[in-house]
Amino acid sequence: MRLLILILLSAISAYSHAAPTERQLRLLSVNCLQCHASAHTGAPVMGNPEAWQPILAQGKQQIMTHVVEGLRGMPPLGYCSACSEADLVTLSEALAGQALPEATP
Amino acid sequence: MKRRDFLRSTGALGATGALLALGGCDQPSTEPQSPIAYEPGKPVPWINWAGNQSCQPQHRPAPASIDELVSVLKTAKGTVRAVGAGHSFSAVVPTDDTLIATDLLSGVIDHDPVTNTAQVLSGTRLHDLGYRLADIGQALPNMPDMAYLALGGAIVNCAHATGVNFGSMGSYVNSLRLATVGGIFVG
Ligand SMILES: Cc1cc2nc3c(=O)[nH]c(=O)nc-3n(C[C@H](O)[C@H](O)[C@H](O)COP(=O)(O)OP(=O)(O)OC[C@H]3O[C@@H](n4cnc5c(N)ncnc54)[C@H](O)[C@@H]3O)c2cc1C
Ligand code: HEC
Repeated sequence: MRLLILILLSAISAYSHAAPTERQLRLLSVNCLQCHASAHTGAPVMGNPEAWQPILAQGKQQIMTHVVEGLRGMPPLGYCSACSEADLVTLSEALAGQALPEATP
Repeated sequence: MKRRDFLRSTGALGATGALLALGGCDQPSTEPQSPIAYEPGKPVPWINWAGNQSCQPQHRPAPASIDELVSVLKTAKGTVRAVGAGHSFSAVVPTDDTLIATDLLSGVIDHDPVTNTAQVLSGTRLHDLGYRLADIGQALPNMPDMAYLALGGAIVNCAHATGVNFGSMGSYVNSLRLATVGGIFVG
């Protein structure tokens, strides 16, 4: 599990969106990756584009509503009490592997 | 169905049953689960796991070291609360003044192989603690039924597992260093 987390973290730098800061990487590691790095939690797994495509299609505002307010097994704020809105966007983009798109009308 | 309604309706199952069932059920995503709505561009509210507690703290420091924590507490305003993972159901965390997030106060800072003890920062999440203790040849004797909790929250609420021969998380503490409001470091 920890090896997987390290591999995933080192893969982040390859994505096109804004790279997370060192502080944000710590927030990702202590909060989000406990679920988003393991398939059995029901969370869309980081580094699996197929899992993220239908989610991204909802658009940024709907996704962020789910991230802040929670959705089924996704806890409100992903447990990150230290996270600002900007942090949560960056961490979600790191998980999704791309920028959160605005919804298409 | 909202998460807290779900908890209410499955009260007899207890929290574990609720968690397992939540992971597997397929509810529509359009119904709000939260007592506070997300508003883009506004400070994000704080909401607990169950969605039955929330607040909009004016100050939300997230210290990353003991020195930072002490300096935050020296000037902290109003009602000051700490938060771990927000798994508590009761109103022990919400404050609209200063909510100290402990996410970054994480890690083992010292250990003694002779007494098999470790000094651990209280924001450390239990899922992380196992790996960090394994690195120094230690392990928790027992722990609650899930690893989402922060050590501080688990100790404060004496979170427990099963087994009559095991104590609660609080019983594994042999000494404590406490930073209090006003910035005094005790212990
Ligand atoms: C799905 C689920 C399953 C659960 N299973 C169990 C179980 O198996 N066994 C059990 O005993 N309980 C269980 N609980 C209850 C839960 O474990 C306790 O409420 C626990 O205290 C929550 O830990 P936390 O890190 O989320 O703390 P929080 O809810 O964030 O905080 C709890 C209290 O500790 C204080 N606090 C937090 N961190 C610090 C700190 N660093 N310094 C000082 N004060 C601090 C907070 O201000 C608050 O008063 C469960 C709850 C849920 C939702
Ligand atoms: C306790 C496990 C858990 C943690 C911790 C967690 N997530 Fe999730 N997350 C989930 C699950 C489960 C889902 C899928 C929810 C569903 O659709 O049923 C999810 C879904 C999501 C989604 C997609 C939301 C949508 O609109 O479908 C995003 C984005 C997300 N999480 C971001 C995060 C971020 C950022 C963090 C850390 C700050 C985080 N998660 C922490 C379990 C978790």
